[in-house]
Amino acid sequence: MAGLPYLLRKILVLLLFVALQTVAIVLMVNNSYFQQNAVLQVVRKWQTSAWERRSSWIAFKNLRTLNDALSQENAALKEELARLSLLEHSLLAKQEIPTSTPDTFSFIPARVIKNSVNHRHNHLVIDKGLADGVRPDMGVIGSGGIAGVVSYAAENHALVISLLNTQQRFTAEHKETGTFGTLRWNGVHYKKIQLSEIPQHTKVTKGDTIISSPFSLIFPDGIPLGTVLSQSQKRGTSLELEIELFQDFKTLRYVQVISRVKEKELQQIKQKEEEAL
Amino acid sequence: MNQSIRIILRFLLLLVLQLLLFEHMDLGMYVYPMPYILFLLLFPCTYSTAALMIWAFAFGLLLDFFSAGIMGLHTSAFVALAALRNGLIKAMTLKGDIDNLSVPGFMQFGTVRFVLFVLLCTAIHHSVYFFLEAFSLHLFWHTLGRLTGSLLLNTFLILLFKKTFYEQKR
Repeated sequence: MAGLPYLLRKILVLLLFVALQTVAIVLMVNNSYFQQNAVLQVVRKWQTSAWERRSSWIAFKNLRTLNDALSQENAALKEELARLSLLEHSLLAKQEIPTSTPDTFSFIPARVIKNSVNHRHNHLVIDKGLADGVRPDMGVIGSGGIAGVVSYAAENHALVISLLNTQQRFTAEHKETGTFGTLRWNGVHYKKIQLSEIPQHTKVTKGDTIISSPFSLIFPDGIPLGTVLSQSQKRGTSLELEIELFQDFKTLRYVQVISRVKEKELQQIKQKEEEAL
Repeated sequence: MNQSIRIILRFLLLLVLQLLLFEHMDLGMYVYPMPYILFLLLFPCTYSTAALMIWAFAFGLLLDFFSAGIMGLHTSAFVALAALRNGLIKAMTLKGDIDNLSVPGFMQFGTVRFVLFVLLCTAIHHSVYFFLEAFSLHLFWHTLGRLTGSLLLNTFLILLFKKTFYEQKR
C-alpha cells in the first residue's frame, strides 16, 4: 500500500473504517441472542462449566443469608397454604370441584450461574435447559418477583433476558385498582424499575403494591413485584410509576422457570390473533 | 516475525483477562473495567491505521461473541479508537519525532503527555461505547456519569499495566 498516492491511501483507510463500522453496527441492530448462542453452542458449554464453578463458590458464601430468606418464604407459604386449605374445605362443603383440568403453572427450579446488574442489557444463565423442559419464551421468577424471560435454551442451560434489560418489556398491574401497564427498566438502578402507560385518572399513592398481571401470558398473576416510590406524568396523557423492586438482583441465586400446562392452546390463540392483524 | 507472535500473544492474554476477570468484576453501575484498550496502545507509532483497525475489529468481535452482551458494541468502539489513534499520536508529538518514537510510552512521550494520550484514547473508546449502548440521548447525564467513572478507572488501569509490564527497563 506504500506505493499508492497519499490521497488514495487516505480514502482506502476511510473506506475500511466505514466498512468495519458498518459490520459492527449491523451486528448491533440485528442483534439476536438466539443466533449468537446457536453459533456458540460448543463454546458456551465450556463457558457454562466455568460460570457454574464460580457461582457455586459464591452460593456457598451466601448460604446464611439465603437460609434466612428461604425460611421466611417457607413461613409465608405455610401461612398461605393454611388459608387456602381452609377455603377449600368451606368450598367443598358447598359444591363439587369442577371436573375439567384447571389451567395451572408448573415450576422448574433452577440455579443462576451467571448474572449481571451493571449493564443496560443484563442477562442470566441458569443451569436448566431443554432436557429439564425449559423452552424459549418461558417466564422466570425469583423469590421476590419476576426475574426475566428465557431467550434461548440449550440442552442443559438456558439464557434468560433479565428484568433489568432495557430491551425487554413486561406487563404488570397496580394491585389496588387493577390498572395494568408496561414494565420496562430504564437502565439506571438495579432496585428501581418503571411502570408506564398507567391512565392519568388512576389513584396511586406511595407504597402501593405492584403485582404481575394476568394479561402477561407467561407469568401467573398476582406475584408481588415491588412498591410505588413516586409517580410522574408522561406526555400529559399517562402516568409513569417508579417501582422499588422486592427482588434484589445482586443476590439472585435460585429461580423458578414457569411452564404453563395449557401453553400450546394459548400459543394457538396468539397465532390466530397475529394472523388476524 | 517475532513481533507478530508477540502481538498475537498479547491479543490472547488481554482477551482472556477481559473475559475471565474484568467481565465478572461487579463495581457498580458507574464503573466498567475495560483495560483491554491497552492492546491498541502498544503498537508501534508507525503501524498503519488500516492494520490497526483490522486488529481492533478482530479483538472486538471475539470479545462481543464470548461475553454474553450486545453484539458489535465493543467492536464499534475499538475500531473507532484504532482509526483515530495514529492521528492523535501525530497531533501530540513534534513533526519528525514520530520516526524516532518506537511505541507510545512514558519514556518516549514524557509522563504528562503520555497520561494525556491514554486519557484521550480511553475517552474516544468510552464515548462510542456508552452512547451506543444507551442508543439515545435520553438519560444523558447518567450515561455521562458511567462514561466518566469508567474513564477514570480504565485510564488508571492502563497506565498501571503499562508501567508494570510493558515499560522497557534501562
